[in-house]
Amino acid sequence: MLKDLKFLSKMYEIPSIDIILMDLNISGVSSDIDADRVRFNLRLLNGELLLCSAIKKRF
Amino acid sequence: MENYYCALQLRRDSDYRISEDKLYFKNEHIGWVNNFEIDFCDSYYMRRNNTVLNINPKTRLNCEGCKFCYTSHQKSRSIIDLTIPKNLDNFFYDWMNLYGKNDLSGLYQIAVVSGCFPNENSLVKFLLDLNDKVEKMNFHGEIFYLGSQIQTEESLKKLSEIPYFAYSLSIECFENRDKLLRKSKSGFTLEQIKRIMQLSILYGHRTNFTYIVGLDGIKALEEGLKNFEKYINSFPIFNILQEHEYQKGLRNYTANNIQYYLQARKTIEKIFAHSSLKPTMWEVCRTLWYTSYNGEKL
Repeated sequence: MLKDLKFLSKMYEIPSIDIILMDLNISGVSSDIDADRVRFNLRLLNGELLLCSAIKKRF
Repeated sequence: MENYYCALQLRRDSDYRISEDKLYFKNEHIGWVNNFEIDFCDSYYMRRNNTVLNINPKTRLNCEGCKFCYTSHQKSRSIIDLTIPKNLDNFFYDWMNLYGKNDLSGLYQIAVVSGCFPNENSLVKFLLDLNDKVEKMNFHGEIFYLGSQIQTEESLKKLSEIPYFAYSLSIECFENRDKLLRKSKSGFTLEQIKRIMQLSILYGHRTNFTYIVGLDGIKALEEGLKNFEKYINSFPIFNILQEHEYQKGLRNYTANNIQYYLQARKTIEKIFAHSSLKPTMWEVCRTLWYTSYNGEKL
């Protein structure tokens, strides 16, 4: 789908956190719960570098 | 790090997974999850630290026809027809009891999000009755209607009785409207919508529109927004298209990658760069903006 989160963040001048949250909305989420939709509060791991490293394989 | 409110589609094929209180990307832990629950379609829900009350007066579970909408598939814990006056009275008294309030003075906005009224007159009557009722309960905020059932100048004029009224027209897309929207919505043409938005502003109502990012190609998005940006006095509500399992293939074929959404965000920022209007964070949970807008922190 994407090459690199940091690369895209730099190219579009959009923070990585915004890109991850947008991607989450596009992709949805999987869970064991039996429903079509879920809602929750999300606190992303502290630190953009850590997130970039974790998500890198997607992009 | 901030908490972000998420309301998402469940997709078995997603690389994101929730297990207990953790969000994973594949096998990597990337975030903490709390207040996890099924996204029910209930009679009401709160936003903006419990100062915005969203009501669903006519159950949206029976509202069908727009291809991108998911409410008719949602489960519900409470279905109350709030267009029945006694039900609406009881609803507000129950709400005040539940939230420990003596009146509605602490509410900033009451939002009516529904396209399920039998006709325009019944919607206008409901909004005016709602205003009468909540005024007596010390409500001084805005009554906000999101939908497309207000289609005449007569209605906009009648709604001027409401001290602070806002109309968000559910445009949703600029292309393939006859295929993507239910008939009653697509029959209200973009030219007619423009005229009504223009009148809405003239009658003093806060006016904008809703748009789903992912249904149009970028060029149609850009042309459509340029065409409509002069008919608003508050920033439009942009929602990312959330494609559910049963909606696979709904997205515009160019919108299947993240670059489309990044491009859309940049395009929208460019179109509105000359204006002071900005996205309202609490209003949209599937937005294109979370921490910054046009290079500025939100």
